Amino acid sequence: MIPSKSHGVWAKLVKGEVQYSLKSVPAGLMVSRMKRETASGDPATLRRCIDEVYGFFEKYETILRDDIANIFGKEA
Amino acid sequence: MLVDFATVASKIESGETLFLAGDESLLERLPKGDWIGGTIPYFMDRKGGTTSKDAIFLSAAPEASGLKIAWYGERDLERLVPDAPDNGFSLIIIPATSPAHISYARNAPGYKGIFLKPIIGWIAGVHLDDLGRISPKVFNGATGESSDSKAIALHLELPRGKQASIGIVNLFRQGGGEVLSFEEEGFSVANCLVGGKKVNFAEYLVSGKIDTRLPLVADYSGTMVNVSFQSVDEKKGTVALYAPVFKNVEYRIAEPVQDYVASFSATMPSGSIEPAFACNCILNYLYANLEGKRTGTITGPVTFGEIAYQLLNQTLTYLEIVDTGK
Repeated sequence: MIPSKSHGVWAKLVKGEVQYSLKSVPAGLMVSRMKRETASGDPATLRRCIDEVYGFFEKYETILRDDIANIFGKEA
Repeated sequence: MLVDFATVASKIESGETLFLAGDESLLERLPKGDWIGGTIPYFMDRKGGTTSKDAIFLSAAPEASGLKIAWYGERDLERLVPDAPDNGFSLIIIPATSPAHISYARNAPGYKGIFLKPIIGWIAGVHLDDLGRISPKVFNGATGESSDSKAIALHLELPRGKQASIGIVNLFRQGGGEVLSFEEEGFSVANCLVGGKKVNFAEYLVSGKIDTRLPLVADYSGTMVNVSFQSVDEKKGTVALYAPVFKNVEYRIAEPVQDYVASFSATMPSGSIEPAFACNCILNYLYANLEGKRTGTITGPVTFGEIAYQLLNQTLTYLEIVDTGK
């Protein structure tokens, strides 16, 4: 189970405040793009990125098992 | 697997959905059906690297609950993502150096929602002796049409309980050299920033005696993305690349790979991979002399560029179908 969208780790992930080395190709590409997009500091962009990354992890939870353990294990 | 024309024709006629790679003279004679294809004479087969204009590489599509084949010109490639099924994958083939190739390479990383739907594919090419003489082509098996300017995609919807997963095997890691970044984006660049200082990129490569068989490598949060060198023109002061470089991305020249075949085996993910589709890069094939050599058990066409969501270079790319149990 991934944590809810309001969990602080999602913002840290898309802003690159914690550096993760992700195994999944789309996860790595997506998070890298989001780091560049959220660099502007625009709150609406941050919300959009969190919505998108959350939706991605929710949809592909089985495939992303290792990355989920890496990200949320580190935060726990 | 690499098979003869008659075998492919018979599978098409029996209603199988196929992803094909081979010579134009073979693909253009195939019966109509649920298939797409692209031209290339280089393959990684079970026996090793093979060059052939007489055989076709066939990848059988997984069980589908729906499929759609569509053309995409340079201006409507962005439709690829909304056209893709919610659960499934899209396999796209694009002719090398075509407007669609350039457009996809530059713009795909920015397509809305691109990472939410698995997209795999490859860049069609020709025998190196035919470069500039024959254009690479892609085929729509449903209509029998071909194109040297548009991309063809097969969108495949997977049944409930299955998901598509795209992986890569990239032997290259960032080397210990300087961080390089670019103020101009594209396949051809004049300058780069080295530690924030602008220098001519061609001059930098020549004066540093940098081996341009090694790609530029960017670390995308753990996914290593290569940009390979096509040529360095010291007189004009320009560097041509096989994929575009992007602004705000940090690149380094790759660490040299001593033994490609051994490194390949060592880099393969643990456990057995049985890809529904895979492709490897012509530059790996050439630089590592892979003709006649086996690189693990993964087979597929050897291509002029690989697509795992965005355009990649010098990277083996594969598609797996995973049981989600849901």
